[in-house]
Amino acid sequence: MWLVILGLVLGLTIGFLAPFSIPIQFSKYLAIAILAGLDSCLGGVKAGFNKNFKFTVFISGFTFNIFIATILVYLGDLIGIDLYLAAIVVFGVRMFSNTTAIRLSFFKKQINLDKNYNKEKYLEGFSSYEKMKIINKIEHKIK
Amino acid sequence: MKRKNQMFTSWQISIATASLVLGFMLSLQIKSQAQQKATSLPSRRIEEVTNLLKESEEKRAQLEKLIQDLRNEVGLLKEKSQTSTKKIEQGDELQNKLILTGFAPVKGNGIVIKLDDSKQPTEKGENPANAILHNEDLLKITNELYASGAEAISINDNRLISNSEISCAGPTILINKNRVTPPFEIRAIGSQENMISALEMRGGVIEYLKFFGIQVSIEKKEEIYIPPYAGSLDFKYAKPDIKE
Repeated sequence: MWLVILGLVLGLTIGFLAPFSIPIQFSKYLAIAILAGLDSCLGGVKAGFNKNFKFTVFISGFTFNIFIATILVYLGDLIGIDLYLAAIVVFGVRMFSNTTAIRLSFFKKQINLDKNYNKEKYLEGFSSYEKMKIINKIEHKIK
Repeated sequence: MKRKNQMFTSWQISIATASLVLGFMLSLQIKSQAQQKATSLPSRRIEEVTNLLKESEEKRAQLEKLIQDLRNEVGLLKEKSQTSTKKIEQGDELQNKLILTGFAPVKGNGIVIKLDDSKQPTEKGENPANAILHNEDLLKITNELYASGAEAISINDNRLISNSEISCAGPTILINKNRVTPPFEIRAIGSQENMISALEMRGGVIEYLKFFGIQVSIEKKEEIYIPPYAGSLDFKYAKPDIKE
């Protein structure tokens, strides 16, 4: 987790020391891109804490979300509606849900989140070898 | 699960690089916002001041209308009381005084001069200030008009009285404290021939203006209406020194 924060701080310093700056017209698009990137990173951190991190998912989500968010704002400008408001709401909600999930993942040992989880039903579709692997994995997680 | 050989897990590295990019974008945005805040404060004040100006102008227009109505009332009351005062000025003399002081709207023969800034593009080496109208140009024209016998002059519906100023206020001109901007319409009641020949003489004002491309047009008109002076009558320093 600290590596992530280090990366953020490093990026900030590079940007502050950079001689160029963005013209004022693009600041709206850059703002929404930042929001999309932030939401993507938080989702990645949550996945990392829950051992669900998939590199392709994260990277594609990061770049795609930034791209799509910018396109959305531009489209909104074109048709005369403040579409960036929709993007702000969505990313804000997602950021909060991600940070909540991260917070809860710290307490996973105390809180029994898997109350409704039916182990037998879940294992039905797998071969015995895979079943063994999964059971070991789950056991390790709960420890 | 942490592998023993690795310092940082793979997800941390990828998210860290992504957050590097994110931090870069974030700092650029913060920089541009800081710049905007530095320059936008004066522009916000400009908006406030503009609104204040608009409000004051509207108020002034309302008050001017009120002045006009009150003056009409005073006029009516004076008429009613005219029979009972001792010294009654004869009709003609009173009329002339009203025309001279600008308190009566007037009509008569005269000319209408239309002025506008030059539409020609300025060439290299030319002073661009010569292509626009200045208050001095208006002053010269009104002086010529008075010199050639104009009895009443108005510029863009502002009646000129003896106390009227034609002063420069940035890009606009103030007449009777009202802002006027080109195109200007100067109406003058008087002898059409005298006024036109005075303006159009060789080496005169109109020739000088046309040389710089200022658009001038002079029209003779049979019935020109010139509005009365709409400003306030408030003399703080001058007191009449009339001996009875």
